[in-house]
Amino acid sequence: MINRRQAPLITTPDTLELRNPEQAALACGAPIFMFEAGNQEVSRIDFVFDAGSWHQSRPLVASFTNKMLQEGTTALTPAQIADRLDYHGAYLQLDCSADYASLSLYCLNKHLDDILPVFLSLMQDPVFPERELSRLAGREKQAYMVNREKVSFQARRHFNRLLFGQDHPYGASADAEDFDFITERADLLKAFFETHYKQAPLCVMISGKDTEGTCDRLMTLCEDWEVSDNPQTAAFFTPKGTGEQRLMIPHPGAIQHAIRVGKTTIGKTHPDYQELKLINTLLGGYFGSRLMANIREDKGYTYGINSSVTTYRHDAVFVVGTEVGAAYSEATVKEILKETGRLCTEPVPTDELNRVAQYLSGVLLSEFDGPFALADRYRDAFLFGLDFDYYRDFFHLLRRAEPLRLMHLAQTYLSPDTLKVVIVG
Amino acid sequence: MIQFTDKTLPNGLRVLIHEDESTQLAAVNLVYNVGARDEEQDKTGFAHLFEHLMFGGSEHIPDYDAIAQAMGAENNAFTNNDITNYYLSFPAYNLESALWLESDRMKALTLNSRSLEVQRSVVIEEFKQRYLNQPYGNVWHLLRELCYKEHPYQWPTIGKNIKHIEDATLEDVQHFFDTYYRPNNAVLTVAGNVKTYQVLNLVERWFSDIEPGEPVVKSFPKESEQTRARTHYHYAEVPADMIVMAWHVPPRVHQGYYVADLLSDLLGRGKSARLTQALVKEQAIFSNIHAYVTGDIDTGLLVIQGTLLPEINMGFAEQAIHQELKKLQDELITEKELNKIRNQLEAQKVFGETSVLNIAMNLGFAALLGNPQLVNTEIQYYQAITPQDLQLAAKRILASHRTNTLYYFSKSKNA
Repeated sequence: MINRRQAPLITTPDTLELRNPEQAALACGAPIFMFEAGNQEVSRIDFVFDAGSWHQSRPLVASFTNKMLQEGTTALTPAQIADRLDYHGAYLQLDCSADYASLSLYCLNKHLDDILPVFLSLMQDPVFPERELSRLAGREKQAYMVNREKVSFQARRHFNRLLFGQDHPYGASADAEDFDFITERADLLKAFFETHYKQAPLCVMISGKDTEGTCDRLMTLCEDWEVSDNPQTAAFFTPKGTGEQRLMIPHPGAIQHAIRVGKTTIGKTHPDYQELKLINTLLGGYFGSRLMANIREDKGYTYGINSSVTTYRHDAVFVVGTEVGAAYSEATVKEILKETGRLCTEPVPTDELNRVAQYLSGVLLSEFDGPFALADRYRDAFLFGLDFDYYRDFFHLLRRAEPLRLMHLAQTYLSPDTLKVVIVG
Repeated sequence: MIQFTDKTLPNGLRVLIHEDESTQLAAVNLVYNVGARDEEQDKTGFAHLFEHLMFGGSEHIPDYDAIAQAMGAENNAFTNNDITNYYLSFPAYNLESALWLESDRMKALTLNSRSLEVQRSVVIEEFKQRYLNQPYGNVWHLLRELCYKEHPYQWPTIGKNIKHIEDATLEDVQHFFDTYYRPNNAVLTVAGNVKTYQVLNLVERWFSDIEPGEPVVKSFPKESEQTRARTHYHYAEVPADMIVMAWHVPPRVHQGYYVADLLSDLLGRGKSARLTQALVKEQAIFSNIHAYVTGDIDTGLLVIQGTLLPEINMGFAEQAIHQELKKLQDELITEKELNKIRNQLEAQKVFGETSVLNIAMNLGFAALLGNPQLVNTEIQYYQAITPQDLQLAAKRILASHRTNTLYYFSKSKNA
């Protein structure tokens, strides 16, 4: 008869084995990183450009330039592009954030010869047709009209505005009129493209199988790609928060309130950052976190609550976010501030710290599982001037974190009286 | 080709094992053959509420999450109308802990009123967050009621209304566990960097002392064939009109299901799909439009769901969809278009196989459908479909008298 009380031994990995990527470069100078892994004959290729909304002069210009890359090139109509990709089972993903813009291609290796030239033409020869632009603007405006009905959307928006001010790229957000304005301004997108996509990409990631073969193909196809030599100059913005400590935004008819509590903080390259990440995990960064245990599993106020530290290129934000029954929002804010305060006044019990360290060590393995995950993690580091050592360091930190030091860092970075609160509902 | 070993323990637990040395991870997936369709119509939302209770601790493991976290696992669960599926993904050398966790809660889940009260409250907040406090959040409540008059698919997994969740008692919960959470009503899959013989030893060690339950006999009222079109008009505070159309499709293991799935792909998969090209890109009638099948074990649905652009009226949008459907009924599709869909399906399959968790889930569900080999052979069913099959299915499935249409109007736009 088996003894069920006897727990099987849990092993925690003692090293994080990460092989540094192979490197090459395109003729234009863009570095290429290769992540060879997995069993399947597939590839993902990412091009990252310094073309985020940080550089735009009007709302939506950066994101629309990015979205319009797939809406027609000198050689192909939008329908032909869609058809060519779909015919080969290939899949395109375009992203634009405040800091960066990217194009990613998912493709079976056997179709790469057919698809790579199409993929490259999107970033090299787009034409920004007016009809497609006005239709895109119509669709996006409507998606925006739906989104703004959501309390979570409003909370995020008002929170960013509170921290950075409306004129800062991290605090700005588009309004309905901005979609009307952009409709007829293909000229702005073309100009943005000329300035920000005719620079060498910040990096190119190739992940999957036979990445070297794919790299050779890319290098050949990009031999004649002309980019500008002029270094890109970026405007500089200073955060101008609105100064308010607490904001209550009415949202008629809401039966749940959306809550954001947080502040700007230190970023990835700061020496205390990894410990702040660890503190954040304890607080609200995983399912067993203090906030989940208290506000969901003990009080039942919410379906979920979490906290995060997000690093932008020029700043960083710590934020707790949740949606709770309308009657619980004041009590929830109180508990969030109480839990944050507890981190500043009580050293974390060793067993809790060990559990989180064990959890994060194991989860790190998952975060590097497979070629695409490797590429994602490397990119997250590379864009901040870091590499895989960043994760190796974090892995080691998990073994030597000290409760007292964490408490002092919490006092420095998460003191409850410095946190700003937004409630929408 | 996914290789796997397929064994059944004497207590009825089916075990599937897939080895993959290219990863350091392993995944454990445990699917119970119980979902919202097993609920009584005045006690809906129960299977999903129960899923929450499964994390409340078991006889020898008071805190499930603490162990899962210590072993470095990412874990979660989901419930749909047919199944309740639990999964963990973790560093492979912690496999035994995962089996200890899952076996203990199958053997002796701790059910108490405190856990029930808290999870009841969490689920009510989930109901609000996902269904009541979102624009269009109640579409599936309305659509299911419109499409199903007999079969329990007429309510969504979250439940018909909050009251049913409020009314659940501890006795209901215990009865549910004793009936459905038995080894002979489950499939366990282990995939990843593991050795089959070791997995088998460990599974026998932890699961073989669990008593089987009475065999669960499933007999659901069969949805009668629809003989005339149905409509429902709904007005809500949303910014834009939406139209949702749905038709019954054959059960998941029926050959006709695959044809219906391909039909929905022609209409809605990828940017080049017919509805997107014609109605979003060319005619600018919708800001977005989707077509898909639900993949239910019993008679499911093919759904077309589109959000209308501001200047478009509902009747016009509806006509435009019908015209696209008529083309499928009147004209044979070309080999080229069919090849496109086949290539898309192939790519989806290969990309799906890059994750051992995904493989584990697919194997488990295929076994529950009756044949784990489906993960390898289903692609052949799709490849065998001809343009004639699709035309016939378009005529039969998408017939106008079998249409269910939900007109979801914006109150302010139509004031």
